[in-house]
Amino acid sequence: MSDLALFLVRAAFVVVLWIFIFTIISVVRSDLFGQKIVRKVVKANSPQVLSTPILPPSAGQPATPSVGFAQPESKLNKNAKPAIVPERLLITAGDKAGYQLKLQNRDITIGRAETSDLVIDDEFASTNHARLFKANGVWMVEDLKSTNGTYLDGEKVTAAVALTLGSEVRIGKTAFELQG
Amino acid sequence: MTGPSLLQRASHVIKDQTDPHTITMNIGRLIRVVPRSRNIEAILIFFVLGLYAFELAQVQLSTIAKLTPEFFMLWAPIAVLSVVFHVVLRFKASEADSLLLPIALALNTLGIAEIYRLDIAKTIAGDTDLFGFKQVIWASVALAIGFLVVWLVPTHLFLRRYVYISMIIGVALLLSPMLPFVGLKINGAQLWISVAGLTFQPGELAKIALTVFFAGYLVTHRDSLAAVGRKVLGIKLPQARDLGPILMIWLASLAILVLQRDLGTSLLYFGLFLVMIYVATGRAIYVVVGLAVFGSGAFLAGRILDYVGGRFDAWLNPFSDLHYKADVNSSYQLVQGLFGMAHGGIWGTGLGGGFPQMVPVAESDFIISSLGEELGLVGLFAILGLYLLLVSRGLRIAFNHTDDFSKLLAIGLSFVIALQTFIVVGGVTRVVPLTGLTTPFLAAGGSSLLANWIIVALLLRISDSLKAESPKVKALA
Repeated sequence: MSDLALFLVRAAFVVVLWIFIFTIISVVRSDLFGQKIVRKVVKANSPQVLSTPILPPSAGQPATPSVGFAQPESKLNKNAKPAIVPERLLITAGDKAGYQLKLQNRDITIGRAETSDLVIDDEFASTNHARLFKANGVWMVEDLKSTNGTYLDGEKVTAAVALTLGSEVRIGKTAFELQG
Repeated sequence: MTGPSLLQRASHVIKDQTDPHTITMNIGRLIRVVPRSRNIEAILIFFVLGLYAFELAQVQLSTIAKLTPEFFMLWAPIAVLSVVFHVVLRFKASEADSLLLPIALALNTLGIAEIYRLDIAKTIAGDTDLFGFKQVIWASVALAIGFLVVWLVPTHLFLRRYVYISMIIGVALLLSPMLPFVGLKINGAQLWISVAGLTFQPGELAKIALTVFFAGYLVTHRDSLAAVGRKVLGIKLPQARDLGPILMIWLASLAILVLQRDLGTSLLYFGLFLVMIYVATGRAIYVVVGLAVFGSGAFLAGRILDYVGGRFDAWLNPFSDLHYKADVNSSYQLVQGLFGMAHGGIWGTGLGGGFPQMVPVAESDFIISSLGEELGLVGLFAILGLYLLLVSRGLRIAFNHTDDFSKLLAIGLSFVIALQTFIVVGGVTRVVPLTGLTTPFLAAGGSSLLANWIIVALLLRISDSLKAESPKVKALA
């Protein structure tokens, strides 16, 4: 082989070797920093956002999850059905933000206890803080006499309350919601 | 509802600009997804096999200027077995980490290509002591044992039942090179056993056994090691009886240093123990005290024992005639390796373009300097990057696991690869004294390949068991 050809082969090898490494790094990256997730919850008030595109939302209005979160190209969005059954619990704030839990037909206990299904390492959480359960096909949240309380969309949960998709449950610093 | 209209898109673009709160929310929440997809693994394995073919072709073209059937004999067994490994993972450990196998395979095949390249140089020089095909056979055996471990071992937790047996096996393996008749001394270090013509480095397998022991022992004793103890000068000292085993490990590692004349091996086991005890208890005092006693022990050994001192001197002044031309503890090999890497420079001479055969035992101890010469600093960094990624995957598995034994086991298994790589590469590049340890996955040698592939198999097993954690919080794939 000519020197030039050999040089090209050698250079190509170094390039391919590094491409391999960066391929792996890109996989690792999606593990460390996560993939973008898309909200597919369309709340009843979302048309308001659409109808007033230019106006900035008023300061007092809570930043509600709107259709704006959905990436327009998303497949998920296209398949969105009007009535979505909650399938997973997504943690939106706190140490475990980004984690999700698959909903099964069984209760989910929440608290600091290691035996909880959802362990919350938070000073404001009690050992057995709250419980999610399914009654008549509807997921309910119930506070288990916790010290600092459980909040559903900012209101303290006193008795078992039904959860709707996208409504935020807050325990201490941790917040989560149900998603379809 | 069909896809949103342009207006809709425009609307939230405008919204983005007006409301800072929404801007941050719009970035999209991040979700931690462990990439466990076997498909990623399949793609990466094909990538590695392509890379391997590229390496072999490059070696043959630049040394003998033609492709010979040897190419396929070197390539095919590894290709077949790695695909089988992948299939076994699909059926038996579908949730296992998808990067471990391709990374380990990339290192292993790169090693084989370089060893084969050295073989060609040797053949031209008339030498018949060849390692390339032996290495392919060993790699095939190691891969086969790797997937058999994944296949036949349903869970790594059974190891917890054999904690003390592991200790005995580990210590026995470590001490076996000192047995009469079978023990073998190479380059002054007594790390090998020789049975029926086959040489074996039992210390390689001992690292797995001892990691199992450390993990099991520390899971049981971590609380008393972490919490109990008197405060002296503001530092909480552990109880004497908790310290007992630590002192024992320290003495054992010093015994290896004195009896087997190898600093690297003793540093490997002691370092492994320190890291595991630190991870188990979270107390830095163990690391500080441990390094201090090990350092002073090694220093004393260097002063008192000639052969250890000689190695230190050869490391500190390798270029002096006294050491370069010495009969015992010569720095000739080290200096040849350094010259080789200097010849390679940043870009390297290309596979097959250098003179790595001028370094004694280039295929095992000095495979790093051979690769450094032919692939240059760029290639060496790529290799170190692969090690880094391999170890980071192991630590990630440990981090994700909720079970303490699995956590410690994964930490230990991945750290032992990291520390061994550091000691070997550090030895070749003159950062630490040269030792008799092998470069994981790269160096010629069956025991090393076997042990490291078992480590990979165990890590795969551990990462697969994460799926059984349900319904605990875990990322959905």
